[in-house]
Amino acid sequence: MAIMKRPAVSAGELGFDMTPMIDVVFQLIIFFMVALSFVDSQAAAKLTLPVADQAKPPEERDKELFVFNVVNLNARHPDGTLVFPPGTPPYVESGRYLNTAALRKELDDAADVSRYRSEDKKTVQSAVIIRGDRDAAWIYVMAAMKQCQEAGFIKVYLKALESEEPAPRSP
Amino acid sequence: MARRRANAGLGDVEELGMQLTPMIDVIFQLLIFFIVNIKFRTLEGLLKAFLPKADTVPTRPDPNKDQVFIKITEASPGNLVLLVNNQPVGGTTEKQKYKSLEERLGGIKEGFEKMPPVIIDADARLPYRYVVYALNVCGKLDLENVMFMFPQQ
Repeated sequence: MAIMKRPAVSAGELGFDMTPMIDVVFQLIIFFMVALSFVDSQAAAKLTLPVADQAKPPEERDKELFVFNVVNLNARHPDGTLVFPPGTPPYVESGRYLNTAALRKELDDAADVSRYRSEDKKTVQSAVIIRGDRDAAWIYVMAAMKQCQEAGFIKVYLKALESEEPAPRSP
Repeated sequence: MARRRANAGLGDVEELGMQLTPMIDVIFQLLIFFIVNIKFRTLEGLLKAFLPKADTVPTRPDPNKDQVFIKITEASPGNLVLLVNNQPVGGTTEKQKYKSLEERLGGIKEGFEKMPPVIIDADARLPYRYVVYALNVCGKLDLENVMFMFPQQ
């Protein structure tokens, strides 16, 4: 505000000094660039994560990740209709709906790639991240964890929100 | 728009040496792009899940071993029941129940030099968040040895 007013006094002579404004605008641009996070393509939109304050930010060294989602098949729209048509498989990976067998195939492939890249060609170094809807049936998450284990993954993490989002979905 | 107005204000452009207006236009465009696109990072974190070795997945509690057995079930839909070694924990709301679960587990932990394995047994159809909350409690108490029992269908 002060910047806008001051030049009015000396407007006849100089026009106005734009340098401070440009400085401020650059600061703003840098702020928004840093704060910007692009939408995670692996995340499914129709999902609300559970809240767990012990959830830790992901570690940098786990670079190779296999992420999949477990959706709540009983989710309903406000008008009472089912969000997912009956028979929809519960797992979503990169936008594709997978049943347990298909998920296992993806996990096996990812484990093979990770084994191939490891030094001893045996250990699976990649981590699996399970993004489960807070209302998804536990059996699906458990079954998925079993598949991860059988595929040879050692590191499995569950994704959770560290705190409730500003506009929580009513329970 | 911006160009014309800025020029009018500047008067003689030659004297300034550098034409700032196009740059400012571009910068404003950038600024607007980032403002419109911004979606603040939601604080998503990871909870360690415990994968037991395939042959040690317990299918039922073993009374001969030191184990802490957490049963998560529902008395009726929406009415959560938490049992630690078959003793229900107190509390009426979900939050209170997990709070008293934490107290109960903390008490058990103090009684042992090395905390016995904690086995979480949740009903198959229960919402997954109930298990996450229990895991969260285990994380709070630094319990390292947690296992899941396969739910009976």
